[in-house]
Amino acid sequence: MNKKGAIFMPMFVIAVIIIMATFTVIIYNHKDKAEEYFSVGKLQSNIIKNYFESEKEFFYYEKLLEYNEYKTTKEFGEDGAVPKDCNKKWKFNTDCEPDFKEYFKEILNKKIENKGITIDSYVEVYFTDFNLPTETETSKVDYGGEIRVKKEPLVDFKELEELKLDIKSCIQNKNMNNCNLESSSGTIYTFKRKIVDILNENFESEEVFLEFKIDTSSSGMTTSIF
Amino acid sequence: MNKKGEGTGIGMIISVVVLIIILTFYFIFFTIMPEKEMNVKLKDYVPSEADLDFINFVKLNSDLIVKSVNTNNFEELEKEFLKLYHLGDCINLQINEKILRKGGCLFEETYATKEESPRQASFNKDVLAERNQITTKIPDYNNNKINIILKIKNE
Repeated sequence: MNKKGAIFMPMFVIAVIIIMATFTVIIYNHKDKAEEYFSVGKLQSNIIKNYFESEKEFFYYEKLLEYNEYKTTKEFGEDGAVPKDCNKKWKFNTDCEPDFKEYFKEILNKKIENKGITIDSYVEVYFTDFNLPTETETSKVDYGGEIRVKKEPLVDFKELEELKLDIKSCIQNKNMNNCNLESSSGTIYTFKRKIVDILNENFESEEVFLEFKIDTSSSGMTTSIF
Repeated sequence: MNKKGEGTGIGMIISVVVLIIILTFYFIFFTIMPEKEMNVKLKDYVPSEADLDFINFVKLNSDLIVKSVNTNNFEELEKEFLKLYHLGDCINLQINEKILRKGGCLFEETYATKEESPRQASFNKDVLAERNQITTKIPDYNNNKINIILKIKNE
């Protein structure tokens, strides 16, 4: 004879076993995902990590500019602040008239391979962009921008401009001795000025001198006949 | 004559007992035995004070690092490297191919090449040691990159 009561409890027990086994499986399968979802501080941790990465990037480019500025300054002094084909000879109102900032920029440009360089009261170089985004299941943070390095120039361009004016004045007044010349031979006058100390490739201090010549018979300037 | 519920008593008792047993085991496995804390799982590396110390070390000694690589003489840099010793039990500083080691410790124990079987205790300690690695790069005087890796092991 059928007794519904006789099968109800056993069926209930079996149902409970199945449900609890299912919950157990679900809990263990989703445990990893639940732990990651509730990871407190993951976004903040990644932001800090990205900040450190950007610090390292910026430092790399700062050192790159620093070392290349040393090399540029040395070459600038060796060339007499004029293009190489001028052979250190200044000649005004020609391509051999020194344009200190422009020539310095030209040399630096070749060394750091055509980056965006500005030289004024500061040397500023745009190297590249950085982009360090971070994302979690609930948020996204973008962290990026330009890597620009700005520093005071090693060379005092203002002082060099004043030197250029003094030389012009001495030529016009036909009195080169007033301009602290290094040596002379006929109409060719040689000048030598220390411009700065740099670190050379052995990381030793090295003085950089600007050495140039003026030939008063072809200085490019019209002088007084009096 | 049929009585309702006749013959179901034993079935009910057995069912209740089985239910109690199941619930007891469930209680034991899910509340008493397993870990009670939810561990944070971060697959990416976690920044720490070592990052700051390492970045500052590189910034302060960048010229020395470049000079050491150029001359292949790391004596002076070894003296500065002492300042990173507090970061862990075993510290290795790799600069390009050169590796400076704290007390000569190896970051990865290579038991196979040691020609001796390791003591089990030290093998286990090394396997379970916590490892961390931080990298950066700096330019040298000729615009070449110098790769610098700091490896930290805490047993």
